Amino acid sequence: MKPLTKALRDRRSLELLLRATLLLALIAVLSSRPQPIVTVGPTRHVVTNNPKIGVHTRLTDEVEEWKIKRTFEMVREMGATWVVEYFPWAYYEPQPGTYDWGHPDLVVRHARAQGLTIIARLGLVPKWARPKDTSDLYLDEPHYEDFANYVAAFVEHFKGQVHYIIIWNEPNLSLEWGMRPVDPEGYVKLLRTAYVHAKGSNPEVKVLAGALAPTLAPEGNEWGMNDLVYLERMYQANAAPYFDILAVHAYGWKFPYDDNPAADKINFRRVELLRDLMVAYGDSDKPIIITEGGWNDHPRWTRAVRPAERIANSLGAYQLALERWPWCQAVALWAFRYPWPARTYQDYYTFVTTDFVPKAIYQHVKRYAQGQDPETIHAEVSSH
Amino acid sequence: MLKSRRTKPFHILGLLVLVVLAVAAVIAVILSRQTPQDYSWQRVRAEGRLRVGLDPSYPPFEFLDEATNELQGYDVELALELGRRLGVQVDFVYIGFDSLYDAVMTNKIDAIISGMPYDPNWTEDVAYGMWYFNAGQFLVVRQNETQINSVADLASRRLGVELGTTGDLEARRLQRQIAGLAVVTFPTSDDVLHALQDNQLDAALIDAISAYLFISKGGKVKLLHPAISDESYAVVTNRKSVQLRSAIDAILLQMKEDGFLEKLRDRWLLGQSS
Repeated sequence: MKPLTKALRDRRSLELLLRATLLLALIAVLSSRPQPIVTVGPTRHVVTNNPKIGVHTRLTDEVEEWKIKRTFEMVREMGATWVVEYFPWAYYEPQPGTYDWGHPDLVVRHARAQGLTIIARLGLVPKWARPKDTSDLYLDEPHYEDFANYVAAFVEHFKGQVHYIIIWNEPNLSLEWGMRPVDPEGYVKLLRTAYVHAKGSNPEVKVLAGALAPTLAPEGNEWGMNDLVYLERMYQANAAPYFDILAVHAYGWKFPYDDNPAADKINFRRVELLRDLMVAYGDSDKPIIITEGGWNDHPRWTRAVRPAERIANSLGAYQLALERWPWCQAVALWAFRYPWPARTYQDYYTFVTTDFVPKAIYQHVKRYAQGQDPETIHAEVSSH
Repeated sequence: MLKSRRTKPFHILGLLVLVVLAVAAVIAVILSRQTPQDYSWQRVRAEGRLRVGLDPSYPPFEFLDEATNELQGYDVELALELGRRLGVQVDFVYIGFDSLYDAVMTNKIDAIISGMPYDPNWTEDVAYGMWYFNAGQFLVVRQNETQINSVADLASRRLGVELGTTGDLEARRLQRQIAGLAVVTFPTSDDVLHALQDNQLDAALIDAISAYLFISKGGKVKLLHPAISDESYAVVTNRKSVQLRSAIDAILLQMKEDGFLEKLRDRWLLGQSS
C-alpha cells in the first residue's frame, strides 16, 4: 500500500471538517424553533363615535391564526369595541380537571391586541359530565358543580384579560336546555353555583345571566318559554344576587329598530320590556348587554329585510342604545363572520363573507363609527 | 435448478391471484357503470304521483292567492306541466325554504321546484338538473339606449345598483376594471330602475326578476343579454334519483325548445297573457 502524501492527507482533513461543519449547521437549523408566521403585534385602540358598538364573532372553530387576527382587526377597523365569543366547556376541559387553553389563549390575545373588550359565553357540556346519548347542552344538577369549576378555571386563567362572562345561552329554549322542558328555577341554581365559583376566582369579573331567546311561545309549549315569563320566574327564584348584568338577545325580524315594544311582538325594542321587569324587581341599577341581535337580509327568508333596511336598522339600533338607553352597556349584533358558509339564511346575518369581503353593512357601520351623521346615512339607505 | 423447482408453485399461485384480481376488477367496473337503482323514479311511476316541494312565499314564482288561497306562480305551472308530460299527478308539499334541501335528501319529496338557485356549496348533497330560469344580474338600460350594449361601454358612465346586493358587489368589481365607472347605490331595485328611467343613471345592474317586473308595470327599460352573473333556478332532486332527473331534464329541454319556458316568463314576469 502506497503511503498517503501530506497534501492528500490535508485535503481529506479539510473535507472532513467541511462535512462536519455542514452537518452541525443542518442540525442547528432543524432543531431551531420556527418563527411564528402570525404575530400578535402592538396593542391597538378602537376609534369610534359610539362606544356601545359590538359584534358576536364566531372563532371557536377557526383553526388558522391569521384568520383570528384578521377578524379582530376588521372588527376594530369597523369601529366596534365589544366582541362576544363562545368558549365551550366541552372543548377546553376534555377530562375532569384537565384544561387546554391553547385556542382560547390565541383568541383572547388577538382580541386584546386590537383593543377589544371580550364577553365570553360559557357552555356546552363535555361527554364526561352528562349521561350517554344526551345532547351536549344537557346538564343535570349533580354536574352544576363541574360546570362551575370550569367557569372558575376560565375566570382564573383569564384574570385581567376577560372581564365579562355569560352563563349559558338561551336557557328558555328546550333545545338549549338539553332537549328538556325549560326550567327557570333550575337555571337559577346553575347561575348561583357558577356565580359563586366565578367570584371566588376573581371578584371583579362581571357575570351575565340569561341571554334569553326572544320568543312568544305560549304557556306549556314544549319548545320554549316566553322570555318575559322566564325572566320573571328567574327573579321569583331569587336570581337577582347572582348576576351583575342581564344578557339579552334582540332580533328585529321585519320590524324597524324603533318599532314600539309589545308583549306579543318580537322586535328590537322588546329589550325595554325586559328592562321594565328588572326595574319592577328592584334591579334598576343593573345594566343590560345585548349579546346577540340584528336583522337578516336573505333574499328568501320570510323574516328577512332588504340589505338597505338591514343597514338602516342596525345603525338605528346602535344609535338608539347610545342616545336613549343609558342602562344598555353594549349592543353586539349577530354575527361578524362565519368560518365557513352555513348554507342557510344564517349567512345573511354576517358583516363580512367567510373570505373577509366586507359587505355593505360593514362599510356603513364603519362610516357611522367614524362620525358620519347617522341621519345622513339613514336618508341614503332609505327608500325614496 | 433447485431454485426454479422451489418457486414454480409460487409462480402458479401468484398467477392465480392476479387472474382473480383482474376478474374482480372487471366485475367492479361493469357494476359501477350500471345505473344505480332509482327508487324515487320507480315510486313516481308506480304511484303516478310526483311530490314537489316548494315554499309558497316567493311571488311570482310560488305564492298563495290572497283571495282564494290557491297556489299559483311560475314554478307551480312549470311543475304541473312537468307532471302532465311525465304522465303523473303533482302533489305540492309546502316546506320552508331552508328545509327544502333536507326534505329532498331524506326523500320526503321527489323534487324541489321553488326558485332554487344552483349553489356549488350543495352539490355533494343534492343534484341540480337543467336550469329553467336565470335570475342573475343583468345590465339594464333605457329602452331607446343605443350606445351601451355591454359592460365594455360603461367607461365614465353612472351605474346604479341596489345597496348590499350581489349586483352591488359585482358593480364594485367592475369599477376596478373600467375607467371612470361611477357606482351609485339605491335602497331598492325599483329606486334604481326609476332613476335609470329618469336619466339620473346611464345603466343599472339588477336581478332579472326585478327588471322584468318593472317592465311589466310599464317601465321603459330593457335587459342586455347575456347575464353579468348567473343565478340559475334548477329542479333539485336527490343525488340518487338519476332516472327521475334524466326524465325531468329531457322535458325541460323540450320546454325550452317548444317555447313553454318563454311563455311562463311572459305570463308571470312580464304580465303578458298567452
